[in-house]
Amino acid sequence: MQVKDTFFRIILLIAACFAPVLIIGSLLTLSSGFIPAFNETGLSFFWSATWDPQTREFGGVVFLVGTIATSVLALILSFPFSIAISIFTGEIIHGTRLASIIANLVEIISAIPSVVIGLWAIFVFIPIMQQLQILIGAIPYGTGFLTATIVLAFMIIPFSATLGREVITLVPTHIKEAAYAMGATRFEVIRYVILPYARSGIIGGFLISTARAFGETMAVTMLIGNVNHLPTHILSPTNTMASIIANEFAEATDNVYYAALIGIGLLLLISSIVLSYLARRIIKHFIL
Amino acid sequence: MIETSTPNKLSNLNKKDPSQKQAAVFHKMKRLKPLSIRKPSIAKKRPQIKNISQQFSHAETILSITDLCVYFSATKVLKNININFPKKGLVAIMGPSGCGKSTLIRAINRMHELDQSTNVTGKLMLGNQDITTLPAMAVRQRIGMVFQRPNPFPNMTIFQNVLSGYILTGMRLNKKQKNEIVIENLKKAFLWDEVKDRLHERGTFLSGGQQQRLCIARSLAMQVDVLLLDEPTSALDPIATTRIENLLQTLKKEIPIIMVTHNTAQASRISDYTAFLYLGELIEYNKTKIMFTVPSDKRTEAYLMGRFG
Ligand SMILES: Nc1ncnc2c1ncn2[C@@H]1O[C@H](COP(=O)(O)OP(=O)(O)OP(=O)(O)O)[C@@H](O)[C@H]1O
Ligand SMILES: [Mg+2]
Repeated sequence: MQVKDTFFRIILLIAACFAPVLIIGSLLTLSSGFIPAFNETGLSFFWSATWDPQTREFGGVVFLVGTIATSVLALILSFPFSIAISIFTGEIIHGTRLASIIANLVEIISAIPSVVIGLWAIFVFIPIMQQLQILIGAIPYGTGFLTATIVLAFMIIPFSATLGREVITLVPTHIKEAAYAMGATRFEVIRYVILPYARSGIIGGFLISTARAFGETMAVTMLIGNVNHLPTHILSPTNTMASIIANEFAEATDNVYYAALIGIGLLLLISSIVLSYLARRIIKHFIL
Repeated sequence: MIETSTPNKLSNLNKKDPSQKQAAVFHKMKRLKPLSIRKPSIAKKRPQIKNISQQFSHAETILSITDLCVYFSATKVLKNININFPKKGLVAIMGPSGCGKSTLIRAINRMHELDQSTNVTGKLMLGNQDITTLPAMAVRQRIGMVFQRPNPFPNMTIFQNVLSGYILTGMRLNKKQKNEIVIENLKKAFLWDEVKDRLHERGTFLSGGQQQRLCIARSLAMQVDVLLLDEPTSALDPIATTRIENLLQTLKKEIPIIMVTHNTAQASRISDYTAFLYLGELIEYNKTKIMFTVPSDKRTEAYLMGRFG
């Protein structure tokens, strides 16, 4: 019994250590891969907005900004839809066939490979954006910051909507009944009882969505326009950390160029870790 | 109502249907005939009136229910209930499990409207007003309800819970009004002394009995015309139960109370009138003292003697 127990503990310990080891390992690998570029650029890698392989200037700020801006805007755009889907399927029509159909369809969005969504956007969404740009007198690139962000917003809806619906259905009936018995309307019950009760789960869902938006590569690379400048306009093309790596990694024959891209990877990993740390802080703060 | 069946048939009854089960138990009882042996005097004295029902004059009545029927999908769970509740006193609603006690008081509070498959017919008068024509929200603001399981709002503090009726319906109060309402109603609910130093802690940290008194306080804070309680003590220990009973005995002097209870001893201790429901019908409704000493219907008598339920 004792031996079995110890054995089991060791197995669990190894399994539990796997994830941290993987993250620390990646950090080390990326850091060491980044050294050749760091020797060239110094700390300016982290605050320069110029990325020009020709002149061997490598600054990651454009991409850091691109990633954060697309993620935050995508989160904001997806918010009303996610919350509406959560409330509608989790409470208002909960238990009906329509609710499960909608919920399933929303979940299917997350199963569509992002390259497929990218292709769809190129053939359907980009022409629409071009019409729009012609209409307002902008250069009709079609691709660009807003295009990528809207598609990104669509792609992250299922994560927050599904978790949101899940926690909303978990709100105990006796609490809802208590509120109705006090004379509250359905809207008031949702506003003052259901949403506060489900708050931490809903916020958790949005954080997963954000994390997802942070790392999303393929669709963004296909739609963002791949220009290494800070966007001057909401429609202008730019790049994110994930998209610059995907777009230029194959071309990076130069040692320093290659190392600089690894540096961007390092930046992406660190910012993801910071994001998930902040996420945990936020959840703790909001938890009941 | 009760048909003759063989003992074999009894065991074949569908266990899921409580009404059938009750009928079966009752039938068994009838065969055993212990009642007449034990209390021959009562059996002899029993008047031969069916469905005896306590009457109140219009002036004495706070709530009057006429021909109330409740259907869950196609099943008729409450069958033409006619009952008046007095302005003064506590009415206990008793009956075996599944007879429709909760269904009855939930119908008063219009809670069945939350469930689309439930259908309610009949007329309810609160004072002089036909409340069947009012919106459910308005009715619920005038008729308080306390549930079997204590259910303070988990995201609110004790203070906010007392005010929850105002918070939930968007009624604005100033600070002074809030303090007054909270203090007054926590005192009324015999809870003030226990919570006065932690009004801003969450209501869910209280003990079960305290939570239940908090739920009573939040209904009282709405200045309801009637207070409904659905087995308010069945989830509580004996000491907490006694405290609630004492509270209700004081409260019933100020506000009419209708309380569902499983516990006949509790009904006899604190109620002024008792209604006995059986299989969705009102069998007997009378002063508690009378019903507990000389029940008119043999089903009431059987229930009071602990034969089923
Ligand atoms: N939502 C519902 N849908 C269908 N049937 C229901 C529903 N609620 C209650 N019933 C049925 O209606 C009958 C009366 O139920 P009710 O809850 O009123 O009984 P009760 O007297 O309160 O019982 P208890 O003492 O166990 O609380 C029962 O047979 C029950 O199975
Ligand atoms: Mg009940």
